[in-house]
Amino acid sequence: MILRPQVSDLKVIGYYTGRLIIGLSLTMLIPLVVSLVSKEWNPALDFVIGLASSLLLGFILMLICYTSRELTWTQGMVVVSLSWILVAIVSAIPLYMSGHWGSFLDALFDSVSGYATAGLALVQDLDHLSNGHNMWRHLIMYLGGQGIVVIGLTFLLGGGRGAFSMYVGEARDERILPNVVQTARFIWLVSLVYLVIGTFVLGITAYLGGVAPPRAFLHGMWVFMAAWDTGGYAPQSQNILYYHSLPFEVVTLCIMILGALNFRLHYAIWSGNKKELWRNIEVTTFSFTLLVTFIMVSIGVLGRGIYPESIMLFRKGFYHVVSAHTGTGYQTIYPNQFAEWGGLALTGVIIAMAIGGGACSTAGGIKVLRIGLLFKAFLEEIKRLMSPESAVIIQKFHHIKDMLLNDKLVRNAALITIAYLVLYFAGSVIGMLLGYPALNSLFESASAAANVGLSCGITSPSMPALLKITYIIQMWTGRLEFISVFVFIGFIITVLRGK
Amino acid sequence: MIVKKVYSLQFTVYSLFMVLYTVHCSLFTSCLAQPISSTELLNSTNQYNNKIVVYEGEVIGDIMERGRFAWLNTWDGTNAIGIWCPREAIRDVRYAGRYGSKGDIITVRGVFHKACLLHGGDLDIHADEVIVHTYGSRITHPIDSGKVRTGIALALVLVIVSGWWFVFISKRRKKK
Repeated sequence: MILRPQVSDLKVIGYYTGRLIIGLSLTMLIPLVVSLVSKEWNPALDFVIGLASSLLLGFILMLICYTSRELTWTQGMVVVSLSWILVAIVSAIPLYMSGHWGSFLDALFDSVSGYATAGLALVQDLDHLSNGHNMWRHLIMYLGGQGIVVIGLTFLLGGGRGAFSMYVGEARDERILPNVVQTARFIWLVSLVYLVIGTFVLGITAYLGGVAPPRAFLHGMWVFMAAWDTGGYAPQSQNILYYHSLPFEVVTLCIMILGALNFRLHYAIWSGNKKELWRNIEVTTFSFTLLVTFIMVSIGVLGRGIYPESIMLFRKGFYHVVSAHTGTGYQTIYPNQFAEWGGLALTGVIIAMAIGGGACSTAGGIKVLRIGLLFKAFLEEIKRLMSPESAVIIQKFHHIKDMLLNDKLVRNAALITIAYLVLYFAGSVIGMLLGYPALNSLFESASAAANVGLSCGITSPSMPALLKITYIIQMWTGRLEFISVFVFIGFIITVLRGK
Repeated sequence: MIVKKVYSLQFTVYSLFMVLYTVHCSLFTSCLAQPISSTELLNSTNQYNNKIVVYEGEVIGDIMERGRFAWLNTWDGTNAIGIWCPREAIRDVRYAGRYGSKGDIITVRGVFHKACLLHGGDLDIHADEVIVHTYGSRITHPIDSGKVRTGIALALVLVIVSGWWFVFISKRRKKK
């Protein structure tokens, strides 16, 4: 028998969701200040309206649902899923009011894409967008990459019983430090330190490339935010191609790779354990899959004679493989140029997107840790088949420490991998039903579900609303890695059908 | 009779010249007459690769100077394409399009590359001629009075609701 949640359960969920919304709303003060400094009065009003609306929603939820109870595990998961939806909706308000998005659905699409660090965008006339709105787009990505719950844990919520479930619900199942609040603060510390360094380096690079000083600094900060959070937004419609600069591309390559590394790995390196970089299963798997997919892309494009010189292969082939594998989605080619790459190269990019970056990083996709574990399990099974029946086969792997591969780990990795593959497939089927070619549909679907953001041309303001909604659901589910979404759906079923 | 023959010869020479000129235009400078849209260029990269094209659009973002050359990104309303040209060719360019300004509308004539050998495979146009069609200007965005009213109304409601919350929470604390 399914038990219907009581009113007190709903109140706990509403109260904590309200708190998270208030916390996230306050971040709108940053683009508001940028708008005021830039003397952009209408954008400033957009943020005043967005800020007031979201604060109102938060306060009303807290007033109606006030409780002193703590979150349970299930409630924590539901709060995460619900908060992600509501926060994306209120964040879309200032975007929509700018007039650069064709409909509220388009603005919501970009808001979800930002929080999920996907980078697919429906913004129109981006080259004339205000500094305030550009700040907000990139800030959304920066906040979403770290995780809105991580923000809540850092600044708003205590480290209570439900804190860890919320942290896990946001697809961060690894605790870096013993306390989940300390872990959240460490994630912010790393991100802020890199923000300062990255903004400086990218700003200088843009300045030397001919971008005027105040804009060079802003572009540096925005591009860093989107590269570090493996998001892929850029302040100009040509994305990274706008800068026509090899040094700029090299710096973004480094930041994308840093962003795709597990925060536990960052912690190990910060703590002086540099050997971890060479021994970690995620790094070795990432290097291997990056090499394989780059070889696929190289054979594909060289066979077609598109990029005959090594520097071209590096700036177009390697750059896009790294962009896909880290889940960033930065492009230095136009979307319809992917059609020239041919089937093999496109398949290489799709595989790279599907795998994604490190667990507990800002990247999306299946994650290299799971691929590494499944590969180890495969090797273990072969060894078992080739050994005498009485032999005991043990498979180890190194992830911060030496660990034994057990059935539970393999089962979890396999389940999430299957769920991702189903998600990629489902989105591509809908794309095909709406009349898009099979490979293009799979490309765009994998890009949305793995939160990458590379586009072969399907994503545009004119695409069918059904496909926009499909990609929104894919981005949301892919970012939260299913568990909290499944719990959320289960919770709704219990509310509707429980006794 | 002699006059007629002369006219006939002139006509033949003229016709031949026109045919040759048409062939020449269609083979080598077929794209000069009308500006090509970015959509046409991006959808037919093989057709226009390494050919002289005329492209028209608004200068956007930044004019990025690189030694004796410069990059201009030019937006035709659908896409922006990078234009690589000598610095002296863009002396007349004044405004680049941004939030606060409308960029100059320029017409460029140059060689289109779907994957430029000089620029690491970038899709670009190497222009030798840049003509400013219409000068841009600063844009003043008048303050939207509807937004002002909405903002004030929401802010007032927010003050009431948040005040209610703080009173409510302080009463709860006193009770405890």
